[in-house]
Amino acid sequence: MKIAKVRVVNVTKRFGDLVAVNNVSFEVYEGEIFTLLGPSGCGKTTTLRIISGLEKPDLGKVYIGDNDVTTLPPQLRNVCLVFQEYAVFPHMSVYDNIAFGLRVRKVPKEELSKKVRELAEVLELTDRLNTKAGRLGISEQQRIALARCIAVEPEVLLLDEPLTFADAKVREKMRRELKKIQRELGVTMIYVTHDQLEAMMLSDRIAVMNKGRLLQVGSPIEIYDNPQSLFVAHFIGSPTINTIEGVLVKERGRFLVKRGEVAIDVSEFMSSYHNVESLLGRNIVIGIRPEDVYLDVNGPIEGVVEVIEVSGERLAIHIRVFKELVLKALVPIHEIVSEGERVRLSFNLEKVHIFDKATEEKVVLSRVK
Amino acid sequence: MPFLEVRDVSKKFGEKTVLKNVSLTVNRGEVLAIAGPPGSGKTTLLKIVAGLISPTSGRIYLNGIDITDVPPHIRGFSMVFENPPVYPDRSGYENIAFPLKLKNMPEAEVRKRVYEIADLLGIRHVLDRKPSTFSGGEYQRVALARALVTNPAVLLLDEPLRNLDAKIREYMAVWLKQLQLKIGVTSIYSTHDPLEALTIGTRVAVILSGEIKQLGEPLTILNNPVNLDVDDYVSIPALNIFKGTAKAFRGKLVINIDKVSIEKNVSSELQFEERNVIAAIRPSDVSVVKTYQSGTLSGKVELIQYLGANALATIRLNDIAIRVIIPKTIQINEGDSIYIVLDPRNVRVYDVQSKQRIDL
Repeated sequence: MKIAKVRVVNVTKRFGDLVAVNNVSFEVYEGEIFTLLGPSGCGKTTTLRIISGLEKPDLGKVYIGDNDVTTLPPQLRNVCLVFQEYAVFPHMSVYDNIAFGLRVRKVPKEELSKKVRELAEVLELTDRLNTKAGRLGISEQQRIALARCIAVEPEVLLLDEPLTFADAKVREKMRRELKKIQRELGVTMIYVTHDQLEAMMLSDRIAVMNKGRLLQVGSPIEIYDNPQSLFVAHFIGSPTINTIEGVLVKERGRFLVKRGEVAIDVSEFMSSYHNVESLLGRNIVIGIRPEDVYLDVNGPIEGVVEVIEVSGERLAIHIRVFKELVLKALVPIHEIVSEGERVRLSFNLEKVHIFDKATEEKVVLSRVK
Repeated sequence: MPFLEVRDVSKKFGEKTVLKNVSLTVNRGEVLAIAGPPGSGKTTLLKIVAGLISPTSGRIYLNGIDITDVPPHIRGFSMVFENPPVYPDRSGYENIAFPLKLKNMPEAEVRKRVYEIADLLGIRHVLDRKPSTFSGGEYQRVALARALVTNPAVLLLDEPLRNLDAKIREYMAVWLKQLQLKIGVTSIYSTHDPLEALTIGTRVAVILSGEIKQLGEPLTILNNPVNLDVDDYVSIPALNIFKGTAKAFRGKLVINIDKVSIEKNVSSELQFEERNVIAAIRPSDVSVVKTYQSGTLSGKVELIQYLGANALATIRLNDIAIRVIIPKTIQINEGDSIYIVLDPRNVRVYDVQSKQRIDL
């Protein structure tokens, strides 16, 4: 049974003419890592600040547990916010940093010491307790900031892009540390990031935001496999999903997506759905993830390899199919392929997504049995 | 003869050695990517090539001519920084035209060049706008246009994508590569992100603590790292590294890690007694099965992190944890029991002291 720890209900926040958060509602379950994800200016940080109490919503309510906290000041909400800049006290020892909030709350000395040492153990800071915090690296400073927050046992831990200033390698390691720590302590976490991979790797569930609106909430797999809008399809996944824009037409019994010289035959895909005819003549966008495009000597589509992108554990091959269309295919890193090479492609037709060009929403088709 | 050559360059700031005997060449028309973590000496190296700082020792050659003491503006190079100083009170056009106006180029020629470069970089729409209205990607492209408009002999790019959002960075990296293929300007590109370097570079130099540890084509570096630190640096997600022992005899290399023994075929010339080594394997080179098969190792799933097309799982085996890339078709949960398949060919072995590869 999932218990809602935080509920954001119909929250709107304006700054002058700008609607930073536009009628947003979601629930965060107890013990999960919930991430607000979106590009700069999408409203994710404002939403987090509204939960923390640093901003008041113009409309709507925020609940923590069963309590309406909408008008409560931050210090009475029992939440703790970790910022981009960890704001550890550089001249204090790690011990004093972690103990800070406990001292403010006048926790008895023995209990305080026990608590600090327990947390230091979990966060692997035990042998650093006497070191000045300012002398440590960013991975350690982040753990100190986390420990200081966790020490006061907040109901919810709020994190605002805490890994922004780490480089790519360190960030990857810190995501793993953070998730392990959360699993060990079971604390409810709300996390804000613009980095989709970070959200995918870290979260139990993700809320994708754009221009103040909440577009979709789901597990990483749901969001990735079943994007409900073109924006989510584009924003989630690296390399970015392939999109083919055009009008759906039927010529000599075949379904084609056409635009200018681009013409892609989607008959095999379309024939497995009922209400395809209703789409004819409409502007649509076909989305297909790079891992669902294959180099296939017998494939129906031909193109020239333009760029080979190293994408983590695989290569993303960018293939120019038409002057106006480049498709990406993911291949294993050991695959031998070179720039300038002529290749043929096929799609995994099971994995094609269709969006309406005008509304940018997913087109729902009913499958032929 | 190489177009640009950095020969045995060292740089000290006070007691601190920032670059140690760096030698490299850049061929005409290629992009040499300099990849290394923050603080590894990338920016210092670029500034030395640009002439903005002098090396403590070593020389720089362009077309075989020693340019070490030639001042920056005579070299005819352009440099784009992480935070390029785009003039906030001037339009996109004025920003791009600025270096040409410094050269007193006739207005008609300036206009022609600015429009040409703006079209090439897809930023004609920002020419009349002030920088405060630019997106991050547009801002970087204006800075790049300003660097390219003078037709530099060498373009130096110092982490130009660092401050962009992840999604825009990915797009811009491929865009830059396409642009480079089109215009063919000889470039040195520095980045802390190994994947960006491997995507953009015609060749890649991995620089760690001021030393070039490996220089080669992207796929050579990726598939055949010569050094543990290089392997560790270019591997994303993070490389699995284990302490163990190994011995080599009669074409076999036997590696022992914790309670696991792995046997790998090697050249019969490789022979040594049992000794301590470091063994490394990438998460993408390990696989899992859900039921026991002979030769598999039993473990427990400790953590799952989704990547999109697949997931990264941390799996606990006795006293060690190993990270594995798992395709989405294999459904697993945290806490599940699972069996690991290690292909010995994918295990690389390094010397404990020198960190050099020893299983070749």
